[in-house]
Amino acid sequence: MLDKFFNPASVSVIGAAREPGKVGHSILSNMLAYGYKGAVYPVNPKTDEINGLRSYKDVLSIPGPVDLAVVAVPSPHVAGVIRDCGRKGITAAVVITAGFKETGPEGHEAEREMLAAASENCVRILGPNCLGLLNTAIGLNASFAPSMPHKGSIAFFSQSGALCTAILDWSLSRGVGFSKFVSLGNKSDVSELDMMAYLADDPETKVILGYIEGVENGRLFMERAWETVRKTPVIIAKSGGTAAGAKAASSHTGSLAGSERAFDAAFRQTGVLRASTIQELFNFAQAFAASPIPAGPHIAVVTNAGGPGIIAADAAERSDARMAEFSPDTIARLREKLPPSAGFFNPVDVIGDARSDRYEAALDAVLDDPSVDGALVILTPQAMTDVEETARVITSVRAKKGKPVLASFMGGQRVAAGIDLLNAAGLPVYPYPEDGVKAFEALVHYRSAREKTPPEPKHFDVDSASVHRAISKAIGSGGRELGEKDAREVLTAYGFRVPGNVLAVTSSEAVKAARSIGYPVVMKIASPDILHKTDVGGVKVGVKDDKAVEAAFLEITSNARRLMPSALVLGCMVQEMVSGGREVIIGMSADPQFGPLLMFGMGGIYVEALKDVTFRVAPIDERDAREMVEEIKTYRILKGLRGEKSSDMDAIIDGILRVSQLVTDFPDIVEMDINPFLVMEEGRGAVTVDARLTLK
Amino acid sequence: MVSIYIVSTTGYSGKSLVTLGLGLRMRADGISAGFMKPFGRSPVVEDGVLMDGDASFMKKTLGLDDPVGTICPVVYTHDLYAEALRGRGRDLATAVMKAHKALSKGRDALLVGGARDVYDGAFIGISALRLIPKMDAKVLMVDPFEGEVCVDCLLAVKELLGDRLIGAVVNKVPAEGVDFVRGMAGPFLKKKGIPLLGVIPADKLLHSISVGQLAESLGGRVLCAEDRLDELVENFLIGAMDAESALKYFRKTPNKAVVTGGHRSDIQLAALETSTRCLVLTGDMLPNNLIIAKARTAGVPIIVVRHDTLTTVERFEAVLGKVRIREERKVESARWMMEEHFDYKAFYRLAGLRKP
Repeated sequence: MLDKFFNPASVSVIGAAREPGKVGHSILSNMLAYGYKGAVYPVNPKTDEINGLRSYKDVLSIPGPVDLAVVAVPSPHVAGVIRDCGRKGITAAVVITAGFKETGPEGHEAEREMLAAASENCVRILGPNCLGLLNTAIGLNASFAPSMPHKGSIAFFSQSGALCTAILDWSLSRGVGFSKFVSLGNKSDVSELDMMAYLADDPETKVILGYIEGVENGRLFMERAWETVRKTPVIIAKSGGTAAGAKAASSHTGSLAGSERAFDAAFRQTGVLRASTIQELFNFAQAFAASPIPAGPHIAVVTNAGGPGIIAADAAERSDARMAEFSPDTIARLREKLPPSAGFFNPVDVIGDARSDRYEAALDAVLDDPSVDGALVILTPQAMTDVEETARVITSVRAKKGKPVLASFMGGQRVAAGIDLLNAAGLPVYPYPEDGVKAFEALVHYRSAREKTPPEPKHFDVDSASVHRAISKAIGSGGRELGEKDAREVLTAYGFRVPGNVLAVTSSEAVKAARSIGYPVVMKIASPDILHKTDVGGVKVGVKDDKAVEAAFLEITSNARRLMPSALVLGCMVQEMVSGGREVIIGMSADPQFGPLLMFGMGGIYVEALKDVTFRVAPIDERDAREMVEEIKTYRILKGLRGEKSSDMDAIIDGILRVSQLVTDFPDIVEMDINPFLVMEEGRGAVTVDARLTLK
Repeated sequence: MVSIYIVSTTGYSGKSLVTLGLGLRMRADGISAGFMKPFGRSPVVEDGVLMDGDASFMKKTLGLDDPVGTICPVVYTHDLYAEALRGRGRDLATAVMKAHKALSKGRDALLVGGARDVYDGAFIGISALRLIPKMDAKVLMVDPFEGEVCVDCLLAVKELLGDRLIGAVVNKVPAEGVDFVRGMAGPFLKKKGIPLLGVIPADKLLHSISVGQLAESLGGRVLCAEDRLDELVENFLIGAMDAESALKYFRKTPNKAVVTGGHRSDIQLAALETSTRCLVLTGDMLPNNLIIAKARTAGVPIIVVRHDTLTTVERFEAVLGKVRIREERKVESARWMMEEHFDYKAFYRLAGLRKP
C-alpha cells in the first residue's frame, strides 16, 4: 500500500509555485533536481507553466495517471484537494501544509475534515504539517528539504520535521547515506506503525531508525514492532522521558505520553533498540548499516595505546558485550607477528610505533578466532602512525571475515583523512572507544532480540466469576478502590494464598479470635474509611498473647478515633501472622498507551530506597517473569547470601503470572499492588499479606 | 390525620431526603399527605414575593396545591432576626398553627419539615420542641452519621419528647458499614424505645453539585462543552504532581473536578484520561489549544477562574455536600435510597397510617 508513496511512477505537486522561497516552489524543484525518472505534474490554477513544465488547474485535468500527490495548498483547501485526488484515483498523498491539529480547535476540525475526505476516497495521508519524504534509490525528493542525502541502507522516520532537516544536513557532512527518509508530521493517518511494516520488507533498508514523541496505540505498536524486528533492526529515540520532557511533549502533541517505564518495557519485550540520544541513534545506525549481526557478545579490541584499550575494556565490562578470551592459537599468532613488548591478550596492544602492518596482522588473527564475535580497532595518532593506510587495511581485513568490525579513530586533524576513508568504505567509526563498544552492544542486543520466540502466556484455572462479582459490586456502589475484603476475595479467586482473617468488634472478641487463629497474630484497624492503615497507627504485628491483644485493640482503635474522627470504625481485623520469608511487591498500573504494566520489586525499605523495580507490559509468559525476578538489583538477596536459603522463585514467578492473567482478564482493574507478597524459602510458597486494587 | 415532624439535631443531616422519600411513597400508596415547613431557612425572592426555596421545591415535587405561603408561613430573613434581637420579636406560633390547621384539612397525614435543629426558631416561639406538642405530632429523627451514631442525640430527644419520637434514621453511613451500624445500634436503640427505621448509605450523587453551579460559585468562565454544565461533580482533586502520579491518583476518584494550573497540560490530559466532570484552571490562565479541542471532544467543560488554587479549594469545600436537593436525578436517587434502606412497613404501623 505504501509503495505508491515511495515508488510512484508519477507525482503531482499540488500547490506548486513559480516564486522561489515558497514551499510549493521548493518541492517542485526538489522533484526535478535529483534524477527522478517518473512524470511530474505541477498543479496551480493561476498559471500554465512552472519551471518549464505544463501546469494544471487541478489534478483532474492531468491527462495521465498519478500515483502520488504532494499537497502544499493552504489548509482550508486541503480537504477539497484530497477529494479530487480520490476522484483521480490517487491513493497516496503527502500533505506538507501546516495549520491543522497543532494550531488548536479550528485546525483540529480541519484535520478531521481532511481525514474524512481521505477515508471516503481511499487516500492514505502522510502528514499534515510534515517536511515530506525521500527515496534515494529512485531520486525521489517529495519534500521541501534543502538537500538530498546520499544513497545508503538506513531508513529514517521522524515525528519532528525540524530534526529531519538537521539530520539531513549533518549526514551530508558525514557521508551517511539513507534509503528512505520520512517526516511523519501530525501522524493523522500514516504513522510509525505503517513505516515499520513497509520498511521491514524494503530490500534497500538494513536498519530502521525512528524519532518519536509518543505513540497512539501502544498495543499495536508492540505487535508491529515485534513483527518488524524479526526481519530488520529497529532503533528508536523517544523523547519526553523526563517529567519536564513529558510536560513539553503533552503540550506539543496534545496527548498524554505513555510512561517511560512502559516504553522501556515495550521496547525490551519487542526487541526495539532504544537510543538515549540522537547521537547514539546514528552511532548505532552506522554499525547496523555496515555490519553483519554478530554470533555472540565477545569483542576483541586492537589498539595502539594502552589507555584507550583499558577504556574499551571497562566499557565492555559495563555493557552486555564481553571481552573475548583468545585461544592459545591466536595468542601464538599474535606473538609471532607483534613485537615482544606488545599486549597479546585482549585488548591487543600493537604499541605506539605500530604501522598498518601490525594492525593488519593483529586484526586478521583475532577475527579468525572462533571465540571472537567482532572487533573494535582503536587508533591514536602517534609519531609513526600511518592513519590512512591503517584505515585501508582495516577495511580490507573486514571484507574477508564476515564479522562486525568497528573503529575508533581518536583525535582531530591528524585522523580526519582516515575517518573519511572509513566513512567512504561504510566502516563505522567513532571518536571514542566507549561509543564503539556501545554500538557493538546494540548489535549483540539485536541478535538476542531477533532470536526471541513469541511469548506464550500460561493459563491458570481460576474462579473469574467471583472476581466479576466483586468488581461489579464495587462499581455499583460508586467506589473505585476495592476494600480489603473484596481485594482478598479477588486474590483468592486467582489462586493466591491469603492468610485467615477475623473481624473483632470488641477487645474480648479479638482475644477469642486470636486464640482460635493461634499466637502470634497481626491486628489491623477495620474501617472502610481507612485505606492507609499504617498512616494512622492502625497495624500491629507479632501480637503474642491475650494481654497484648487487648492492648493492641485499645491502641489501634484509639489511634483511629483520634487521627480520623469521622471514620467508621468497625473494630480490628485479627490475622494469622505469617513469619519468615522475604517481602517483595507485585504490582500493576494501566498505562494510557500500553495497557497493564506489571511491576516487580523487592519490598519493604528496598523499594523506597533503591527504586529496585522492573516492568513488563502484560500479558507475559514465564520467561518474561523469570527475567523480571532476575534483573532486579537485589536478586542475590532473594537467592540467599552467606548461607541463607533461597526464596521460592517459582512462587514469585507464579504470582507475577497470575497477576498478569488477572489484569489481562479484567481490564477494569487499573491499579493493583500486592504489598507485601511474602515469599518463603524454596518449596514453601508465598503469602499475600496486603493488597490494593483500583478500578476504572 | 397525623402530623409527622421530621427533626434532627444538626443541619444538612438528610431531613429533606427522608421527607421526600416519605412524601413520594405515601402518594404512591394512595395516602393523602401534605407538607409543611413551619420555619423556612432558604429565603428566595421570586417575582417580588419572599418565599422559602425548600417549600416551593417540595410543593412542586410532591404535586401539592397549597400556596407556598401556607406551606411555609415563616421564612427567615435578616430583618426577622434583627428585629427579634432588638426586642420587637413576635410569637409566631399562632400563625404557624393556623397554617397547620389549613394544611391538615382533608388529609391523612401532614409531613412537617423541621428547621436546622429542634431549637431553631425558639426566638420567635416556633422551635420544633414547642410546636410538636401543639401539633400533637409524631416525630422521626434523622442523625447524620459521623464516625458513629449519635446515640446521645437520640436519647436526649427521646427524653424531651417521650413517646412522640417514633423512630430514627441514620444517614450518610459508609456503604460498607450499613450492616454493621444496623447490627450494632439497632438493638440498643430498640431497647431504649427508639426503633431504628433506616440506615442510609452516604450517597455521592446527593451531595454533588452541578458543573454549572460550580462555575457560578467560583465565578469562573466556561471555555467549552457548555452542553455538559448539568453534569454532577461529586469530588474534587488538586493536580500538582507529575503526570504519572496524577493518573494513579485521579483513577481512584470518579465524577470529579480537577483543580490545576492553566499551564499544566500534562495534568489536564491525565484528568481527561480518567472520570472527570470538569477541569478547573486557576490563576486565570488559558490552557493550550490542543487541550481545549480534546476536552471539547471528551465533553468535559473547562472552567477558568481568577483565584489561586487554595482559594478555589476553599470555595469548593464551602459548597460541596451543602447542596439542597433540586435536580430530578437527585430526587429519583433519594426516592430509591429510601425504598432500599427505610422500613416503610414499620413506619406506617408506628405512625398509625394504613394504606387505603
